[in-house]
Amino acid sequence: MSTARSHILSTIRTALGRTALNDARQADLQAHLKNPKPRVIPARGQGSREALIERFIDEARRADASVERIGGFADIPENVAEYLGRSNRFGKDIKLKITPEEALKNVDWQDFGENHLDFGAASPDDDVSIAIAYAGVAETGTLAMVSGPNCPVSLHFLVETQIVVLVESAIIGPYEEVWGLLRKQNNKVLMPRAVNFITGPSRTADIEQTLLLGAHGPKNLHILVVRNG
Amino acid sequence: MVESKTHDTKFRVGLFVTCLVDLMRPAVGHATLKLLEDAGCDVGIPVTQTCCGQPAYNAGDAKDARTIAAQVIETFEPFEYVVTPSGSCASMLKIHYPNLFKNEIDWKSRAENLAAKTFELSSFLTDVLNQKIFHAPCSGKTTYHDGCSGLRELGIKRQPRVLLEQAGGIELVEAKEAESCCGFGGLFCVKHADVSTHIVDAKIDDIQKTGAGLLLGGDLGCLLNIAGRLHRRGIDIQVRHFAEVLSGHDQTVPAIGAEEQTKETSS
Amino acid sequence: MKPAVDSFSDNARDALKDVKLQDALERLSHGFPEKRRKAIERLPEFDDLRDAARDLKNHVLEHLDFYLERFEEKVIEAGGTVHWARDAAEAQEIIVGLCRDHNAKTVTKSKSMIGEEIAINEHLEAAGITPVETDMGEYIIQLRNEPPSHLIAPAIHLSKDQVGDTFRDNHTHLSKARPLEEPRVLLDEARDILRERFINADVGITGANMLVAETGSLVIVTNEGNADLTMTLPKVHIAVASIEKIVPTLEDASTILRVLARSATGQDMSVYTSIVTGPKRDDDLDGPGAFHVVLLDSGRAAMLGRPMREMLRCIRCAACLNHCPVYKSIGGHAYGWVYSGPMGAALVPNLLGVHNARALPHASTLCGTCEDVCPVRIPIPKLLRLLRQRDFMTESAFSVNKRAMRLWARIAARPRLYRCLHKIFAGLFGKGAGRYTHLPFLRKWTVTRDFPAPAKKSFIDDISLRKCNKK
Repeated sequence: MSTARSHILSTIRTALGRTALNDARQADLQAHLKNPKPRVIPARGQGSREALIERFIDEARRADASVERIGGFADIPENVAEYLGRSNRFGKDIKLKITPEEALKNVDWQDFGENHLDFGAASPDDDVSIAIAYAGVAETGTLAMVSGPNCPVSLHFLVETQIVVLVESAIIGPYEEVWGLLRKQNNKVLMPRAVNFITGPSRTADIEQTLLLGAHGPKNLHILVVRNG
Repeated sequence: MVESKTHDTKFRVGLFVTCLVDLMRPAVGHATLKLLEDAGCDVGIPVTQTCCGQPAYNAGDAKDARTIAAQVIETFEPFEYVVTPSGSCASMLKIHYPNLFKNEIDWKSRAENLAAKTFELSSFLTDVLNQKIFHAPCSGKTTYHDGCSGLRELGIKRQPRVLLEQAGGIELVEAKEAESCCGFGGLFCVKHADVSTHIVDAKIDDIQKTGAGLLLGGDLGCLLNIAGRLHRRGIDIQVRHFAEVLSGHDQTVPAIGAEEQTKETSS
Repeated sequence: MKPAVDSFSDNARDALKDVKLQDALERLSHGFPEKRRKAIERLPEFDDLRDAARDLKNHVLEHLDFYLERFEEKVIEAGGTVHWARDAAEAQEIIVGLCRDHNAKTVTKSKSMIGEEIAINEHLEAAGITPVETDMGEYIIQLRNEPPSHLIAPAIHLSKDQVGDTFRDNHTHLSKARPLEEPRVLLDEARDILRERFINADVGITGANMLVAETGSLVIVTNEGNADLTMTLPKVHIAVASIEKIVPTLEDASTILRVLARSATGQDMSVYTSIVTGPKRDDDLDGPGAFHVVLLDSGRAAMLGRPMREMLRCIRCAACLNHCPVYKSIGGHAYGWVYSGPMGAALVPNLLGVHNARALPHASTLCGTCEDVCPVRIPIPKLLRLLRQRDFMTESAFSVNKRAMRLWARIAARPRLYRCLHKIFAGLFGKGAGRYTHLPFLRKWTVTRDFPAPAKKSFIDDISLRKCNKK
């Protein structure tokens, strides 16, 4: 144990007027850590299935994301092509990087051509990323992206345009449900390296409080809400 | 002790007039007395009262604040209620006195008793007495400054407005920053006079946007500060304590800092 | 940053005369408070959430040793390392040491007030390592060699022209004649330059908004995405955080998150809220290979035993700054150190010692707006009064200030003397109406304000006389 560590812990205990907590008290607190309870869940994080989907879409748009509802994964390429074409970005040399998730690998990407599309982590040359959200938090229109071999984190930050596929059934109400889902997975270590909650494209107001989209992260966030995932 | 006339009395009330009112603007004291008597209160005015101890307390001189507080508690203990025309002094007695004595069991109890029966004037008239005001004050656009202590420590916001509205004849226009600090802050206004002046200027700029010719408030410290700066900037907005308007004293007494005026120019 | 608290009065005076700063503060006054108000209107549960946030932070502080130990266990379980630093010097040594171990040449940094507190950039530079601030505001002030002037908007004191000039002076590889008037153009230029730095950095250093004991996670909140690029791309991630940043569970973190962004910028949620735990897993495609957390005490533990403990609930949202009449008049630099506004006035004397920050507890009208808007209900005016008490007690008995206060108090405690002295005062200065434009003993008032004339007779004297006459 380092000197600093023991010194800090002992300063804390002295200030609190006690020694280390007794075993019973520690067991109490430990039990709470193993069985966490939510505190105040706002009404906007609750509601029927349909209400939550509507709310997610409204809130995401409020945060300057664009949102489209599509039928299934098969519709993704067409929607992506249309979206990118609409914004007239990138032109012929566009580079797409897609998360290596089976559901996306199985989609027909032939319109994009081999040279413009690959699967894996993002590199600085990539223009557009496509990933699948772990969940959508209706409370604030927030995407929950969970890192793993099928969802590298760089996809969310290195590109100029981020496209996220969100299956309707993954839309939940409050943030706490994301923790519930992770705990259900019962992994040895509960947390992945990163859970990224993303609400809209990147922004800053650091220059004269003028709000500008596209700071360091993506300038655009496009969400495809898929009915059948 | 000075006693008011008693007739059909409701409550025995001790008037804590506050040092600023006592020394700077007795008209507010007379106005308060009239309002309480009109409401049927039997008002006592202990002549040994001086100050609530707030200047010492806010300067960090807890020892002297405690000494003064003990004196106030002893003086006003015999009354059923203690009423004061100042949000900050009321807050000193209600919120901070129990704190000053928190380590002294007997005194703490006495402080808590006093705290429970102390009220700022507008709060006493509305929350305790549900008093109706029948005086018709001067007409014209008026705006209100919410003193910080009264507002944030005692929740005084609605009460003076209810009274002013009942009285009729006032066109109350709310300033956007009615709840913003005026920069007085007790000793702050001299310790950091330049910052204080900047703050009161922002306050005045906001008040001017209402188009009001009269500013009312419930704390004389704030009102002296704002009036002083208005006069220096040559801005023609009168400043009074709300008690003056509700009691009709505004008809006979010049506004804060104003020269003596004839009846024609007084409203 | 070397503290310059002693010159608060001079700093404030300069700030009031600084036209560009005053314009910036005007923008702040109309910006953040209105946005916060609108966000709260859309959340009826806001006050309940504030209570919950206060309660959970109080609980943590009461059991801080337990939660720090649990946090450390979980970080280690996830493959990370925890370092403990008693003070700034130890933290500097640890961080520079880690950078040296990994042969770091360039380090990217996301915004960290603790980083400012321990002046880590200076120490990295002294060790031949180049720190690059990546938060837009921090990047700008790094170029200008200035400290931050606000907790969440470090360059809020600057105009876009000043930013343009700074870029022109520093981005010398670009055409001198290029237009730099528009914020959009400035942002794009900084984005391009910093993108290269993100990609090439050897180590990324972040702060942390929260540390989650349940999982050993950091919660890091930005709008720009710079923290995520800082901690994902380099091979090493070092996070430095003070010990009171702990929350017990992920649910507790969610509670704090609900009040944080709303109180800070008026957003329901910041764009990027990232919960990171340990280094990359074996099957991750990206992420840092090494993950280090530096826990800093530097005076916090000692605060636990005092009423000042309440200040440790602070979640650094800056709501108090945005609503403070004093901060809005003079900005952050006037306060002389890393933390400014009401939270700075209460915290800095605890970290630097009351005698090294005497001016700060008095830099307040005690209006209480800070307490009103604080998402964790810190009673800042109460804490400032306590600091003023400490200052008064240690102040020399011979100081003019102390003697004057004691004299007033002694007179107020003696009613007969008070009345007698007042009669003299009223005789000299009392008038029926009117005002003074100059009073020698109130010079500081009458420099800028008229002083309404005191009464010729006090209320108490007048009412006593009337009663006597009536009889």
